[in-house]
Amino acid sequence: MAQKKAPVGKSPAATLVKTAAAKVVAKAAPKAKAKSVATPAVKPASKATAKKASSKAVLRTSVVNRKPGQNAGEVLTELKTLAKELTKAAQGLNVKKGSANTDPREVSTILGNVERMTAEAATKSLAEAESAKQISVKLLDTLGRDWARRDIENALREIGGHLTNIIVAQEFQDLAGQSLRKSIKALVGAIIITEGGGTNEEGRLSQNEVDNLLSNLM
Amino acid sequence: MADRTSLKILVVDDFSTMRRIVRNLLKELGFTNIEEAEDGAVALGKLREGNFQFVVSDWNMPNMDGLTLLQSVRSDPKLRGLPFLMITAEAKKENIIAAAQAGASGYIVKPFTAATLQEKLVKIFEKMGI
Repeated sequence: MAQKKAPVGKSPAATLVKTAAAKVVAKAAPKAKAKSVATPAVKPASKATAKKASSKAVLRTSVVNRKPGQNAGEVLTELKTLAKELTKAAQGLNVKKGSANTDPREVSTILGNVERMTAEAATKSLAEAESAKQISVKLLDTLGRDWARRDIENALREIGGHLTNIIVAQEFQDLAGQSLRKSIKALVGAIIITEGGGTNEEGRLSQNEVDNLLSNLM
Repeated sequence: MADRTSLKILVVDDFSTMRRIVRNLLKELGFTNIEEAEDGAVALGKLREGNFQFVVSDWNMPNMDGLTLLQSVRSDPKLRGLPFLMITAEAKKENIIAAAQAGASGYIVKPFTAATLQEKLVKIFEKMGI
């Protein structure tokens, strides 16, 4: 995004320079009394990119050569305006540049993890639900043919176990939610301390490693 | 855990899904007296008012995080002995050390399983002599 915006940010600034420079020249040139003074001021300005140093010198000369108090005030005002506008434009560019303090690669990794978590949770939930359904179908068959209390009890327990697993599988929402919050914060560049690193795998310990560490500490 | 199931437990997490999951798992283990709080500040208020005997808390929460809640519990003369189980996505060494230093009774890393929760609960109860 920053790359796309950069050229857009550049062109208004460039236009601004051209417009303001043209204004300065246009105002200065027609009001100049002597042709010999006005002409060199216009020509180098139009070829500003060719010889910057010489054009600056000529512009300076043209301003200096004017009769004091006649046009110098106007030119100075224009130059001040130009300087202000340039400063504004530069500030605008800096803000855009400065706000991109997030590494986009990190966000893509975070969102990739969210995608993985949701996929895993869906797969797990589906598998558990399918297993529970199979058991209930078997149970119905058992009821029709040979009613066995123990079978029903066992089947119900198994179904209960699968349902619990489906419930546990929903915990992805917590981790995915944290990851999304983190991504959103990163993307908007808000100055909020990022909560939780549910997604940052770097330096994360497994439950076994945590247990081992705690057994030494507690 | 027949004699433990009447314990009044507070489940603290800003994500309602996670509170529901933990509540369901605790129910599965036989616990029926469960209340919830959405952050550390609400939890601390409930703990000071209610007669809770166990806390299961997340770490990252708005207003007051789980570590601050744990520290507040341990510094409160009436609550200091309360068993405090952390269930969190914070799984870095420094997090575990900070939790241990603050006086956590147990630490579970997300994502976790029902078996892990049961194992940690049993361990804490055994330590407490319940």
